[in-house]
Amino acid sequence: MLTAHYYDGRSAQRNPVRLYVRDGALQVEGESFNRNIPLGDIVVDEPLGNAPRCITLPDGARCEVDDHEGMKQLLADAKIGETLVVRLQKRWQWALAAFCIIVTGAVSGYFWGLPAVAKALAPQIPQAASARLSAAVLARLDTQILQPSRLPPARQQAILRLAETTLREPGMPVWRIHFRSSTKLGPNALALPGGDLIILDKLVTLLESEDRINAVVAHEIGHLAHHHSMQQMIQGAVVSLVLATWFGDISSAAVAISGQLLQSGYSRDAEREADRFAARQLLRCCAGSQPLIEALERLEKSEGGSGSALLSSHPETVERIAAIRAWAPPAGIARP
Amino acid sequence: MSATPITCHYTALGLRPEATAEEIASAYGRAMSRFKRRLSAGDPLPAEHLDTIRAAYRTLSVASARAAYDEARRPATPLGAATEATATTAASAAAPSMATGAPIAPAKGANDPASEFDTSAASVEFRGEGREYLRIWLVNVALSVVTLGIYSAWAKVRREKYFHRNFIVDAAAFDYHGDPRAILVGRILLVVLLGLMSLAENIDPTVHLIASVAAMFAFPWLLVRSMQFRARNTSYRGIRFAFVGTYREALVLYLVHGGLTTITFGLYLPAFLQKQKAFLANRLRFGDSPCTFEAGVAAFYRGLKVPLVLWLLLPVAVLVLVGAASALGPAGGILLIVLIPLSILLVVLLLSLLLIPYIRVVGTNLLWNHTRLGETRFASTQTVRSYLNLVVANWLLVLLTLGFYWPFAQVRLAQYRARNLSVINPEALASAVAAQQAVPAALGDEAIDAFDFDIAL
Repeated sequence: MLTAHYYDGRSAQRNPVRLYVRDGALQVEGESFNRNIPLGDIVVDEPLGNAPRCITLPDGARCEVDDHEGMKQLLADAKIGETLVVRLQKRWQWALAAFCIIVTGAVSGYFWGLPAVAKALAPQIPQAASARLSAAVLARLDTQILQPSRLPPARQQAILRLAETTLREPGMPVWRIHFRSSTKLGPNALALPGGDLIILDKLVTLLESEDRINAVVAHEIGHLAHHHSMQQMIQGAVVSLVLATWFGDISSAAVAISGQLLQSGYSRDAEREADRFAARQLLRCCAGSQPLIEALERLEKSEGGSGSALLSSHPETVERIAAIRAWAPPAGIARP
Repeated sequence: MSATPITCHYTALGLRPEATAEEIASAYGRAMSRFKRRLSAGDPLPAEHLDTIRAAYRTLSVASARAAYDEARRPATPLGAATEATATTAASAAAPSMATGAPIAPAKGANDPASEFDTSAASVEFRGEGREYLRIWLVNVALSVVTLGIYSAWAKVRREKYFHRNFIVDAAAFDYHGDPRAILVGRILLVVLLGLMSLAENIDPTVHLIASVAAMFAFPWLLVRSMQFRARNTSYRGIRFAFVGTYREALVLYLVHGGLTTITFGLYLPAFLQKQKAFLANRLRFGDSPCTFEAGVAAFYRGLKVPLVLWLLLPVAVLVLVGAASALGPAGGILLIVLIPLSILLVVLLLSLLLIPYIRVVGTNLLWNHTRLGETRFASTQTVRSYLNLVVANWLLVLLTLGFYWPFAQVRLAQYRARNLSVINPEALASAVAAQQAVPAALGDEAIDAFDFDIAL
C-alpha cells in the first residue's frame, strides 16, 4: 500500500491518501473520500532523481509520492513503462554516448557543416545588401581607426592605373580601391563584402614596387570572388551564438576570446583561396606570381615572423609561398 | 531529559536587545540554516537547540509578545524563565516533524486559531545531484544537436521540471507545466526578431534607430509575457501561480525608473531595484492569495551602501590618477597609456566580480525577507562572500572543463539557494485556493503560452 499526498487542484490543502491499483483503475483512498480513476486517464510524470514522483489526475488533482520503491511496484501493477528518454537518462553508457554525439556534432559542425553552409549562403546575399553593409562598415572604420591617406596623388593614380589594366575583367567581382592610413593597424589591406578594398599607406611604403602592391590587390579581389567576408560574417555570427548559448552567462570575455580563436581557423582557409585566385590572375595578366611571393616575404619580415600558427590569421608564409609556386610559376621578374 | 540551559531569547539568536524586526528575521533564518546544515552533515545539534531558536523567534517576531518579554526581562525575575520553559515544551511537540521532514505534516489550516502565533519554519530542500543532472543534461544536449535545435524546447521543459520538482518546501514539491511546442514557437519568433534587429543594425542608421526604439517599447511587453508564462506554468501543492503585472507598469518601470538610473549614473539604482522587486512580488499570486512586498527604498540604499560608495569613489580615483600622472610631466603621459587600459580592466573586474554579485545577493535577501504571502513569510540568508565563492568557483570550473561542468554548477547554485532560504509558517499556504483564471483549459490563451523568453528580473 502506497501512501501519498493528494492535492485536489482547487485548494492547496494537503490530504494524506493511500494509492493502489485494482480492476484497471487507480484507487485513491483518503480519510473522507475515495476516488477511482481508469489507468488510461492518469498521467505519470517521469522520474527525476530523488524528487517526489507525481501522478496527475484528469481534473487537475495530483498525488505526490515520496516512496520510490512503492511507486515502482504501483507502476508495475499498472503496467506503465518508462519512456525512451527516461531510459536514456538513467544509464552512464547512454550519457557517454550522448557526450560522444555532442563532441562529434560540434567538431563536424565546425569543420564541415558551418563552412559549407556559409559558403553556399554567402553568394546568395543580394549585391545591394552587401554594398550597403560594406558602406556602413567603411563609414564605421573611418570614424574609428582609419584616417585619410597621405600618399601623393600621383602614386595613388599609378597604383589605380595598373590595377585597372590588369585586374578589371568581365566575370571578375566589382571592386573600388580606397586609400587610407592608420596608426593602429600595421601594413595591411582589407576587402569589404560590397567590393570596397582598403589599402593602407604602410603597406604601400613597405612593398615599394607597384607590381607587389598589384599582387596584393589581386589577393584581396580573390577574397571578394570567394565572398569571404560575407562568409566570415555568417560563420562569426553562428560561432558566437553557439558559444554564447553553450557558456551561458559565464562571461562575454571568454566567449569573445574563444570565438576569435575558432574563427582564425576559418580565415586560414580563406587566405589560401585568395592566394590561389591571385596567383592564377597574375599568371594570366602579368609576368607571374613573383610579386605576390615578394609581397608575402616583405610582410612576413615586417611582422618579425612572430605568432604561432593557431593565433595568426595568416598561415605560415613558407607554406603559402610553396602553394603559390605550385599554382603558378613565379616566372616574371619584378620591375625595380 | 537533560537539563536545557535556559538562555535569553536575544542571546539564542545572537542579537542585541535593540535589534530591529528585520535583523530578528534574518538571524532566525541564519540559525535555522545552521541547524539544517549540521543535520544534513550528519552532525545534528541537540533538538533542544531548535526549540530554543524557535521559542526565541516566536516571542521576538510578534511585537506584543516581544514587548511583554522585554518587560519581564528587565527586573530579571524568574517569570521570564518560566515563560520560556513552557514555550520550549510546547515547541518540542512540533519539532520532530520539522527535523525529520516527516512526509505528512500535521494539517494545520488557517482556521486553526493557534496557527496565527505558532510560527513554525519549513526547511527548503533541493534534492538534485550534480551527477544525476549531468546525465539528463548530456542526453538533452545530444538530442538537441541531433535534431538541429528543435529538441531544445523539450530539453528546456525537462530542465525546468528537474529544478522545480527537486525544490521541496514543507514536504511538497514545486512543478513546471510549460508546453514544449509553445516554447518552440516562442524561440523561433525570438530568433527571427533578433535576426531582424541585427540586420537593421547593418542596413541603415535610420532603420536601426527605428528598430531600437521599437525594441525599447517591446522589451517590457516581452518581460510581462515571460513573467506570466513562468508564473502560470509553476505550481505548488497543485495550485498555479499567476503574474498580474501589466504592460503599462513594466513600461513605466523600465523607461522612467530605468532611465533615471542611467541619467544619475547609477545613483538611482537602489530605488530602481526596489521598484523592480516590488513589481515582481506585488503582482505575483499563489492561487488567489496575493504576495506583498514591504521593503521601502531606504532599505535598498542601506543594503547597497558599500557598492554605492565604491561606485562613487571610482571617478575620484580616476581623477587622482590622471592628476598625479599629469603632474609628472612627459613621463606621466607614458604612465597614463599603461595605466588607463589597466584601470578599465580593473573597473570591469570590480563590476562583474564584486558589484553585480553584491547587488544580486542584497536584492535576493531584501526580496525574500520583506515578501509576505498571506500569513507566510520567508527568510533568506545569502552572504556576498559565500555567493562569490560559489559563483567564481563555478565560472572557473565551467571554463576549465570547456562547459561540461555546467550541470554541476547549476545544481550547486540551486542547493545554495535552497540552503539559504526558509519558509516561516508554511502551513498558512494550505488556505490558498486556485484563482478562476488559473484553471488551465478555461482560458487557453495560446498567445501567452507562445512567449517564453527566459527574461529574469
